[in-house]
Amino acid sequence: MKNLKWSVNIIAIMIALVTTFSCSSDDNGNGLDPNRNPVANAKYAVGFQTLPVGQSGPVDYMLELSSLESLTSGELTVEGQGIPQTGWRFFHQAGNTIFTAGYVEDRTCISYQFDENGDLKKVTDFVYQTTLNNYLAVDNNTLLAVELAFGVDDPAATAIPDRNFYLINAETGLVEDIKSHAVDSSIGDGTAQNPPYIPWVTGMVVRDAKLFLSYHKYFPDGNGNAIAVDKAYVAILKYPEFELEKLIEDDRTSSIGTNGPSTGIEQAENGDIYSYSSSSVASGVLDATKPSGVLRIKNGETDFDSSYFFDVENAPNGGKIYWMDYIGNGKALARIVLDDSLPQWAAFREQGEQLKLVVLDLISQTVTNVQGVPPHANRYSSPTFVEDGKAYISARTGELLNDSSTNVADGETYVYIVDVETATAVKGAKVNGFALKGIFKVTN
Amino acid sequence: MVILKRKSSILFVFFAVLFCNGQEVVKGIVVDQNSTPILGASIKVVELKNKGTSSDFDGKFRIKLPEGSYTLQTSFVGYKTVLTTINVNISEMSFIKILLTENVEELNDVIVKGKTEAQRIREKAFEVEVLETKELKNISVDINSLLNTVPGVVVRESGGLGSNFNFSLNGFSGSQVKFFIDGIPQDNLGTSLTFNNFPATLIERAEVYKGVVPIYLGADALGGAVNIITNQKKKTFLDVSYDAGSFNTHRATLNGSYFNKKGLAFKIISFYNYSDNTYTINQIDPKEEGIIVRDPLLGNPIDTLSSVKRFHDAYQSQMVQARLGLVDKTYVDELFLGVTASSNSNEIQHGILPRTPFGAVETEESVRSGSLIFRKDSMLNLPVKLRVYGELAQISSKVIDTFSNNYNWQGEIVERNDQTRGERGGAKTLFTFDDQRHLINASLQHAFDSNKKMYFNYTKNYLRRKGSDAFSTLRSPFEDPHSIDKNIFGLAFEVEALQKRWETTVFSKLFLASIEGVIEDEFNSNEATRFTDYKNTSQEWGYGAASSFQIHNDLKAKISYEKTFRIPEGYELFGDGLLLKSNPFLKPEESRNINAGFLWTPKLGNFQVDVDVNMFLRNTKNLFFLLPEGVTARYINLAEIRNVGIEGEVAMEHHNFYIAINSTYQYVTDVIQDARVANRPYFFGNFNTGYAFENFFSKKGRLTVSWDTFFTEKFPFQSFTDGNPEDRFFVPQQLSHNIQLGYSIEDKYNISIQARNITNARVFDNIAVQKPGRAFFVKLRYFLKTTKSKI
Repeated sequence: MKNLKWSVNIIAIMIALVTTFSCSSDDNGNGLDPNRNPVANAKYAVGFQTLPVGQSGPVDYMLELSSLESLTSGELTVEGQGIPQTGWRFFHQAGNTIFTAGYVEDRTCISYQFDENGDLKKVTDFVYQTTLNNYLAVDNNTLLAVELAFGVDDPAATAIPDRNFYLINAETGLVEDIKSHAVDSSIGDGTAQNPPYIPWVTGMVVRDAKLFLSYHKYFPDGNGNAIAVDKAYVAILKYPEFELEKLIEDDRTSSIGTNGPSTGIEQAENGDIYSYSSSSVASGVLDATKPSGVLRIKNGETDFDSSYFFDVENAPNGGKIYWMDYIGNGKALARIVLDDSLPQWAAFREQGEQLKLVVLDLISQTVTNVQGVPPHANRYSSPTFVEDGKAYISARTGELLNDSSTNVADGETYVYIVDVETATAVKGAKVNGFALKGIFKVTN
Repeated sequence: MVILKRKSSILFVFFAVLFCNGQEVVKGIVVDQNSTPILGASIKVVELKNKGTSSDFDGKFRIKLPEGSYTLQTSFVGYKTVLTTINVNISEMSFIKILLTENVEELNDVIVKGKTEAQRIREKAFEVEVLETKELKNISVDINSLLNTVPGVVVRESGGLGSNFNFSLNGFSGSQVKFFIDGIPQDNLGTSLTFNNFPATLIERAEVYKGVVPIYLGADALGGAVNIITNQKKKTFLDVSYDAGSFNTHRATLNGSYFNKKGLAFKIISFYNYSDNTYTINQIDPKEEGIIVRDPLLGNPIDTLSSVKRFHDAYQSQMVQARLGLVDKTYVDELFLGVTASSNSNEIQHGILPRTPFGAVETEESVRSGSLIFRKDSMLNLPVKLRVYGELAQISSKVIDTFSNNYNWQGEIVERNDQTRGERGGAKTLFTFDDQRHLINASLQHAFDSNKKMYFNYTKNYLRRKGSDAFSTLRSPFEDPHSIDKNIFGLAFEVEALQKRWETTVFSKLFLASIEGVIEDEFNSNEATRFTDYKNTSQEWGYGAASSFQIHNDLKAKISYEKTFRIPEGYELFGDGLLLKSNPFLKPEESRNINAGFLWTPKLGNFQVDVDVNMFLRNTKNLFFLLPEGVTARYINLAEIRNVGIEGEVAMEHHNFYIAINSTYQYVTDVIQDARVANRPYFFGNFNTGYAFENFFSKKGRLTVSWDTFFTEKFPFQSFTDGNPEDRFFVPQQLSHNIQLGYSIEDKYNISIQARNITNARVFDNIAVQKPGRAFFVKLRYFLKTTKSKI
């Protein structure tokens, strides 16, 4: 009886779906318009995180900017402007659409586009099953997002469930398909030598019809701790088929990426793929003994380049990497943990002076401190916004948020405009909030 | 009741002879039918002009008389005057007991002028609201709904009967406000004994102390306390009720006492609540109208329904409390042994936001406890009252989330490929807390004379918590047990002067807390360092004062202040052993609370008017803040908040008609950032009116009609200033009305009909969480009391 009702519903929903889609493509006037001049119509928006007020946590806003100059001078505020979001959110862009997705309880991903009047407007939303934890704008048409929730303490479980990959249409903001794949999971055998784990994806790259995924092997107890951290892991799947091609690993450094950012693994202009390994307790990685550094998978290859390892931890000006993002011309921006004796996850605190900004020259394997950015804090960020070769980042300084009383009003957040070639930065706009979680440019 | 023992009588006589020079001191007591001492009764010696006295707070009196035979004329308002003949003779002195019986005729007159217990408490120097349930016992209403009518109080509910609620008093909420029943702290007893479970029928009155809390309510109340009082009269009675209404709601109560002549007493209180809570809602998103229907596979929106019914929201709770004991014995005034058992089960319809519903998540809780009450009103013939309460309780609470799929708002199952997670997205769970609570409350009262009193109170509140999860093979929250041992000492002096026009209480409280726990590091294989013992102790001195002054017959001014603390809960300090991490350095929350106000009670024409205005200031610091840290979070002392506000009430009463209106305005600021704090109602109030038709239908019949209106101004969810005003999230303005119609015969047979939210308004207390629309309830109540009173 229930099954019958169920199938009837599915049919009804299918019909509804087809109708909705065929209708929406006609009246969707805010998609790409080939007649528009892309430069003249460039629009900017930021994911803005406010300071906490009272006992409530910070609030995220989708804030439209009048021009790029809003980032370079003056003050950025959401007073009287911006679209508030519910709960803590991820901000990611694909094509001309900015997506904001909620965390744990708030399982809704909302999409925003600029309408004909140039106003940032909600397009639609979709709900997902748990949390979309890692993202990749595959191209201007597709956002790929993966659910990583790990809660395998069902005593009856005989296998680790597959990861869900959402293929989201960047024009409509809707889910086109969900692919499930185990990537690299194990239920273990109940011994300490062979524990269960799930893949916690820290970065994704699509190259030559292959999806490269860097990941930690998370012990599935919900504590956010990895096992076997002394190896770097990458899974290679056929894309868009989602069939496993290969699992590769490397024992010169620890597991790739950190929890939160999507830039554990990234592709350079020439097709080479670079990854960073943190090995840092303060960045959440416990028990790593291998140095923090960068690995490479050369263009056309599906193995780590055995001739390449950039030992960032032991390089002059180096240290343990909290976060890295490839900018261009073989150079990446990175944040180095200044004091790794801080407790686990302390690098993620939204106010403090626990990180420094450096330029990593991935070719010559040198670390250069960025002049003009003081020691700072910053939590998650969307991929770095780069315009005219300059990287725009937000950074907060002030006393480290601590177990004992700290004052968030004493900290300051600024936008820094970093010239990666010269490793210098100029202070831009003051941010009247914790951070800009993402900076986005839309050119429709 | 024999106060004086033989030996002391002899002693007394001896002293009398020594000091009284031929005058004998006559000693006695004035009591009512229930042997309750009568304070302030006038005792005149008929034979001697200008010779007389009045009874003290224990009902006792003493009067010096030469030897001879006299007549004492004892009178008290509401009682029949009694003449007692005594012989004053040095060789046969006795203790005189004067019994006054109620003068029913006079009492009926007096009721308007005389002061009820509620009025007496209200006129104390503390800023306190008192609600009497006398007229409300016949209505289908729980205590939380009653408290919601108190100025300064907002009860924010997330659904119908039994739903989660947030009780807020002058801006404080959660465990910052403490709850008591007959002076006994109710914290950590779980949700089956919260005040939304108690129908008003079961209690006599509720007292709401704002910011400044008298020491007899022994708890770390940061922002105030609510004390509900059950029937304390030593009378045999039986009170049963049943009500039924919309959404398949059924409630029943049983309340009774039996006192026999030998002083044996038995009391019982019991309730049962059930509701499906299947009310209609019209939105699940803060902004969007209607219920979005989603593609079950992809989650994309495909349709919108204008409304749905909540489908997984049923609530059931039951409680029984029985006490057996002795009263009015020479060695004890009250001695009771009691047992309480309660339980509830609650279907959870959704998380904080209702965008995605649950169809199988449930919670279950139960409490079992045993208690002992001891009261002695006179210790060693001194004007000392002692009351001791001891209790052992076991509290168990369980979260059930083992369903492998999701539900949609049409109540259909949405299948998932991942069958290992629970419905809420986390691990499947049968998580259980097992708490043990040990409570001791001792209070001592000593009267130096009728104008000076001293009070002492000690409360020990010990809680041990252990978590387990029958479903999980891995670690459970609170797997390492922790305990909190709170010891609160209070000392107060109360002074009345200027013919009782000026009353002042000064008090101090000592909060001693010791919080202990073990934190296990699973990843550490070294047995020596695998377990870390944590201990956090705090010692804080709180103090305060309350003062009132009768400026004029109808006008009284009041001012009160308290510096007070809230000790962290175990989870705030130790975390849950999973993603909520410990912070053993957490300090108590601290607040300085000030009230200043006046009571004006003039008689305007035929109306008795009651105006009560209070201004309040709350300066709170070291407030806990949940600091996210990577995937984890911990509590830190961060926030500092100030709340300034004014609340007022105007009530008018004439004969069988009353009308009352009250309102509160408060302005809550984050002091550090100078930003107004959102998501709190800041302007709210209510209006009530009613009329009673006496001798309706029959001579003994009484028909009552009443109307209530509740108002809360629209308030922003996240910020008063941030965000485009059009895009900001607001909890909309709330305006709802209830009507009640009741009919009683001799107070014995009662029937009432209630229509709640008569305009079927869409009301919200929390963002996007719609409350029930129009609903009807019928209540039947039978009240029987013996006409014979025990003496």
